[in-house]
Amino acid sequence: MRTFVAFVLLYLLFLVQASVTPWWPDLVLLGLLIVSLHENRITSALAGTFAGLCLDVTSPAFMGTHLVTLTATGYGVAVLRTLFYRARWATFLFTAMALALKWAALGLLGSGLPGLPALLVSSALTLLLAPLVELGLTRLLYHGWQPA
Amino acid sequence: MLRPIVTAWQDRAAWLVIVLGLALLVVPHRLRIAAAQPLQTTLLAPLRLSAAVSHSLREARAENERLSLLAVRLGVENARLESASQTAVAGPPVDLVLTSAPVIGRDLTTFEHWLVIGRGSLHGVRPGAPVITPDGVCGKVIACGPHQSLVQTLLAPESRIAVINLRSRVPALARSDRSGRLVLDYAPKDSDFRPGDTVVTAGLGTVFPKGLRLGEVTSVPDRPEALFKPVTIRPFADVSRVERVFIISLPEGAQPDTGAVWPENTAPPEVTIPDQPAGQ
Repeated sequence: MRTFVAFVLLYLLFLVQASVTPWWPDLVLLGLLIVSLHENRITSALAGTFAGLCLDVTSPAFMGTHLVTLTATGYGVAVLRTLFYRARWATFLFTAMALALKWAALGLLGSGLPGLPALLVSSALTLLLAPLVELGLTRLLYHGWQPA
Repeated sequence: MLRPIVTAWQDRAAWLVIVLGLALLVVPHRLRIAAAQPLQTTLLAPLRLSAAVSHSLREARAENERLSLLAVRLGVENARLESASQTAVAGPPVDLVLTSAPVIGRDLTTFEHWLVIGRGSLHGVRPGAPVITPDGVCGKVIACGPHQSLVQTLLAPESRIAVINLRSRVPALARSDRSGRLVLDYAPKDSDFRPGDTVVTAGLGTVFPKGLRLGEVTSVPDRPEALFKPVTIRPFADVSRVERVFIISLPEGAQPDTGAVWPENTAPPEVTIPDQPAGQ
């Protein structure tokens, strides 16, 4: 049930993300990070696949770019969290890595980057919001959670 | 024992998904777009729905505002028409007869005080008959020959016409100020006259039926020392340039004191009278 709610949450974050400007923080990525920090590897990878598929339908010509990036992000975070999760800077590290991977993939394979100012503002906001989103979503979805 | 096996299975599955995603990247664009269409329709349906609802709400709000304004305007119009209908129906309706007449002569000094028209007693014209143009009151017939009549215009110094303000229903007497305009006599000092008001004939006396357009109030100077309100009116009919007029007469057998009423603030209909005199 918790996993289903996590997927619904990712979908809602996608709907918000699809209706705002590129200057906004990457809400889908943040949601995926929090899910991946708590779920097992295959659930994290599938959550990334679902989120990537959702983002890919907004630009069908480059379908697969977000899917690969977010699947790799979900799986990677689920693998790496066992090493770094207890560290305070782990969330920042994972967010920065995920952002770098996403922008690199979009620049190389996808529809291109949104422009340097928007990219910088969106990345900074995503990094700043990461601890808050983690706190909120952990309390909302993973209260009393035991590592998967 | 079991945990490493599960982890290994999850790793394989996750890598499989990533490889499938990479494989998707090499699929031709056309196929990708074709595959994405149903997904796009499904996943973006809530956004489309909310956009449609928002759009229809905006339209409904704009339509509501427009209809509210229309309702207010119609309410005001309805109140005005009700008020007019209560005051305008003063007597039984009488079918007035309009006789068209060309202007064949003018006052050579002012061009405004009198006209000669090409219809006379043989055409049914009688002294005292009101004369109008499509724009408004022109004057009245003061003398008749068999084929011609003399018309005293509303700008003649001797002319006096009982009028009423179409909006405020204040009665007064209009006379010429000898400069091509009319002034109102006996308009009460506290009466309601505003620039732009339309003045129509009041129907008092036996010459002009009630409701004929006369002119528009142009100025209401503030003179505290005056006994009456000095209202100036611009006549609708330009008597110095009029070329054809209509003579209003009662039908055969009708009494002159039947309280004939003209539909207020309306121009006379376009009528064409043959040039041959009646009965010839």
